[in-house]
Amino acid sequence: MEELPKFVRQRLAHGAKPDSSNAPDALRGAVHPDANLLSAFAERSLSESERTTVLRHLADCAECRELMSLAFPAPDVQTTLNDAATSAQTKQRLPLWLGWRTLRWGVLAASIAVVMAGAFRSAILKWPTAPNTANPARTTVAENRPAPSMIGAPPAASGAPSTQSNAVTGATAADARGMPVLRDKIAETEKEKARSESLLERSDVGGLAKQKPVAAPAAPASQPAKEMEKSLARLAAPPRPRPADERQSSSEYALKVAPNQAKEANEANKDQSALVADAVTANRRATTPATGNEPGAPSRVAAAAGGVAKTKPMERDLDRKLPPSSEALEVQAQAVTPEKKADQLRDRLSAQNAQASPVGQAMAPPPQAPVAREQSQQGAASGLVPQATQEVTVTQQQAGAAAARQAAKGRRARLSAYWSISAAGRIARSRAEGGPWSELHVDDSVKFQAVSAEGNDVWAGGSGGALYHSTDGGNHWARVKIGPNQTDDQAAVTATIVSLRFSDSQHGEVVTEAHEKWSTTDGGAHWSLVQ
Amino acid sequence: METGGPSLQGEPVSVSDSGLASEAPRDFFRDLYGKAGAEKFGLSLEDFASILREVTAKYRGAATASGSDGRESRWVETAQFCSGLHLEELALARACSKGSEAAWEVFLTRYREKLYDAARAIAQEESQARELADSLYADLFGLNKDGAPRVSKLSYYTGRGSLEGWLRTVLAQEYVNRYRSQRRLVSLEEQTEAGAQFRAPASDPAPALDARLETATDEALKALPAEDRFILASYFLDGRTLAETARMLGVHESTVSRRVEKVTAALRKQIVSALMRRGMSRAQALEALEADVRDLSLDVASRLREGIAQDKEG
Repeated sequence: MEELPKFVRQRLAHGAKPDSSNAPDALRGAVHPDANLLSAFAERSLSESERTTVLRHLADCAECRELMSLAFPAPDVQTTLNDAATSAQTKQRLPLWLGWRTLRWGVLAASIAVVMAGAFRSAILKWPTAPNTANPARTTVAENRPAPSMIGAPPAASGAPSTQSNAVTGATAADARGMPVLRDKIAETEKEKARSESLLERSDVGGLAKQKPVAAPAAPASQPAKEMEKSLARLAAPPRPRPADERQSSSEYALKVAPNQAKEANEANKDQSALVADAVTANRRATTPATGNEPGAPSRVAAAAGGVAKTKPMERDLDRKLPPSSEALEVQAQAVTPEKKADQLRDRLSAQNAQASPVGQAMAPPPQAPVAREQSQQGAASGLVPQATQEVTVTQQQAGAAAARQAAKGRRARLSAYWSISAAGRIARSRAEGGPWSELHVDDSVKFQAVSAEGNDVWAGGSGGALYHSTDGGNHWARVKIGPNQTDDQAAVTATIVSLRFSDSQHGEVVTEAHEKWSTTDGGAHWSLVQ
Repeated sequence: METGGPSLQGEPVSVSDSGLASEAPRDFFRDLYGKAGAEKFGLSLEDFASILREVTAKYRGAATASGSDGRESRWVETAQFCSGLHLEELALARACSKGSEAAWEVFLTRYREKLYDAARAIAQEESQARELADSLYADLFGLNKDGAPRVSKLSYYTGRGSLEGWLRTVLAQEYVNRYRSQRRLVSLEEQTEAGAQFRAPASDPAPALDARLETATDEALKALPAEDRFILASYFLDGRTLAETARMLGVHESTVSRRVEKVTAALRKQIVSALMRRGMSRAQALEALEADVRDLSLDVASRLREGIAQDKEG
């Protein structure tokens, strides 16, 4: 490239005088353009006249040119700097072929290969083998898993139980995306196998709260018990573990499932399959001709609630995992499809048990198992099966999933309710995504402005420095005083609380309207002013 | 405030000098308010309208339109100006400056990583980058100083460019300021190591070149469009690459490459022509342009002095 004569460079560097035209103050040449103009200039957002004015300044001002160069480096420069920063951080010299430019194509190719392999595998292994077996699971998935990646997801190779959301959700997104034809099949079988929907939604502990209400299938009276057995048989296969990202995507609270928890869930799923097999056996034995049995009759509900111990080997398994608990029941009821009968069940069970044991809380889902089982037994006999069957299967799978007690407890607890502040400044709670909100009259003299929840641990703050804490999901609240001295009322915070952030039940921060930030490390017993 | 004729909607409005009606059709503000989604950041319609007036006054300046349709055309231009702003980001930034938690949530979600990435690109060193970014965060949040009202830097964002671009520019400015202030604090030892203590004294003033060369060069440079001068300055003076220069202009690298060649050739031609018009022959003009007597004289003089100083030390 032709060089510029040195003398010309010198005159260029000498520059012209700033142009004091009629331009607005922001664009006067005597003043450096502000960040707004410089960024707009780089993004070509200025008008022609503005751009010319800024250009004139930049042509004469090395400082502003330097600023522009720093703020808007060339893409190659940016990449180089980023790479340099990254390599500096790692303090390693990566080989050239590990550079992002080379790797990104490799990553893309690998991703495509994985997707193709999954789709191929699914097509070869699953499609021809058991169309009837596969369809209900897929139907369930399609119906109850709104996430596109799950629709059309084929069941496990051995015919995973459709009720086990782990199995269903375990179907990889890659599989789902590669099986558009299966989606059509799923859509067809949905109409025929509507009752298997709830089996899927109830089995997924992590996604219970996110499940959409599934209408109680109006089981045709002619539904044979044989059909139910087929459904149960499908559940016998071990489900696939649900990928962590899907677990997170289905949960509003972005649960981070630890690897050990995922492993426990897998083991729980294996237990579930054994329980399912037992359930099939139990149903066969229990099936007797019966008439006029209405699924979900109150009497059976009440009996079932107290009849956990009376069931067979499967029930013994459930016993280990199913301590009675109103809290658990309530949570479970809340997480399950809010059909009328589910609502009745919730009301009755919560009314029966006043106190929830910690274990019971962990066992939230299972308590419905005996209820469902009895219903299924009688329902199967009468031909009115769907809900009972689903609940039986759901219960069994819930029991299995409950094997990961601590993780399951956290998950369910976190997903037990949704929280918000209503326009009237009251704490609002919803038991299901998109479900109806109910205002809680915690303290009508306080206009709440912030709420933070971690499972059943809920904090809410508002006017007058009012801070309330609930450890049972909002059923009971206690006022917490914020101040340097818990016994000194005068020193307590009175400014409105505008923000809350609690990372767990012990550690949290509160910001007031007076720009004060108070923190606690002992669950609110003591507070210290941060800023 | 002057009252104007019929508005675009047929209702008389009063038009301020900024061109933006203080009582402009509420539909206009409401429309922009809706586009900006300002409500979710906690900004009221009045707040948002006030922000728009402020931005408009800053950039639109005095009324420039003239003629019987001056007011309406000014209103049209102003309306177009407002519509061309990054409204959503403007609402977000201003809501953050007012302390809206919802706005800060969104801001941190969108821009936290970008800020740190930009800081790393500027500082080229992790700890320095983090310090730079944290310092900017403090300015963006606007910490109280000695009881003074909190002033957030985000209140200066006007929505002309993207918020990300504005943040990058502010970050670069902060870095340049820090670098300059740190440079003043360079220790004596560092100066010694840098050789500043032994820098050769300034050379004698170079012999005056032909004034015709200076005049012809200045004329040629002044006649260049601002963009061409910017390209030449960026490429030849700052030593930036074609890609960097292109990025600043928002054009393709090849465009800059072609412009550099074209402008350089045209400049030489114009200077030679101007010198020839001032009585030089073509050969003389080319020689005057290429031979930089000033550099030659400086080289000899400085080398001579250095040689003398070394002899004395030896």
